[in-house]
Amino acid sequence: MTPDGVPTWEEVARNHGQFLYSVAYRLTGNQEDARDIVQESLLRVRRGLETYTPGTLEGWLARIVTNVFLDDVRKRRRRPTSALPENPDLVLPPSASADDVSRASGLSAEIQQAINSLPEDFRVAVVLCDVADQSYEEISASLGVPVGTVRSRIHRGRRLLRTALTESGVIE
Amino acid sequence: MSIGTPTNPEDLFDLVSAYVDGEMSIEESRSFESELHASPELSDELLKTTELRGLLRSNGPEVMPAGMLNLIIAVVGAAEDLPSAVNADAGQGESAGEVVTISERSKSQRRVVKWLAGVAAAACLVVVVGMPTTGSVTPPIAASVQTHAARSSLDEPAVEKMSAVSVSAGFLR
Repeated sequence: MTPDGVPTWEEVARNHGQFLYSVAYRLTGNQEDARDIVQESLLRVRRGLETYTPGTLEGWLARIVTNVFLDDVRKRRRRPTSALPENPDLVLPPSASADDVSRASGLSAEIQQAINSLPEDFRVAVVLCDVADQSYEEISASLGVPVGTVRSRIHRGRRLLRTALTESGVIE
Repeated sequence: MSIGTPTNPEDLFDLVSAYVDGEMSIEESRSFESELHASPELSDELLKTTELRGLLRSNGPEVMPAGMLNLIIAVVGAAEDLPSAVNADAGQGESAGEVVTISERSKSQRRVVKWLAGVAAAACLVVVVGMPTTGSVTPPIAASVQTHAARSSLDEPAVEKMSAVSVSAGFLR
């Protein structure tokens, strides 16, 4: 801890790494991407601590991890990393995400899969609300959208989740 | 924060989560509750939303696999120590249209960590190889080994002992 009451990046990592990982996992749905998101988030934490003013640390961290996730989504859209295979028979079936989902220790696999199926804007809003436990105003500040938009995204995201979970038989 | 009660039914439904989450002003809540009493569909939506919210929040956080945090801290720490290699990448990634993907950046950082681990391993090897085995060693390992060897062969030849063990262990036919 510095004399200004600002934690070092390593203290942030030790004390809030689990929080970052939990949010990152809910956003990405798999361990590998969640690890990369946490790592990039901590790099940004380290760079940003010089300008950080003591306040709601988890709110600040939630904003960082969300921005890292959304940046990554945008990059993948601009530049897809997986090329089309020359011989489709040699390609392994896409079971990795399902395996990751089944390893999920918090939510059930069905719920995590339903979260994964949400459009990113809705997914981020729901995860920030129900996993990171952020207020609508904090989410509004994190995403740079009006509170009314946050309300709408959270509720529509939850409705989509409910539909998906009803179809998979998790809820009636 | 108050944004007024909408007149559009779809927008009214969008307010259900805000009500469940306690994100309405007192005025908004009162207005919304009067709509609730008048609309069975809205009441049903409230019930279902409350149930889903409880389901999402009743589970604990996703637990980080053992060792992952230490690995991440090592990588971020290495990036901190080597600003010219890794932070330059990170800086370009954020300022110049975010060209560098996370996985590429991670690979770069992992290469740095591997390089550091290689240097450390080489240093350990140099120390071990360079360690003297006779003369000035403290404690005198070579002398101690010779003493124990002499004691063990006082009663019977050491070779006989070894052959018995070898037979019992099935090394010889």
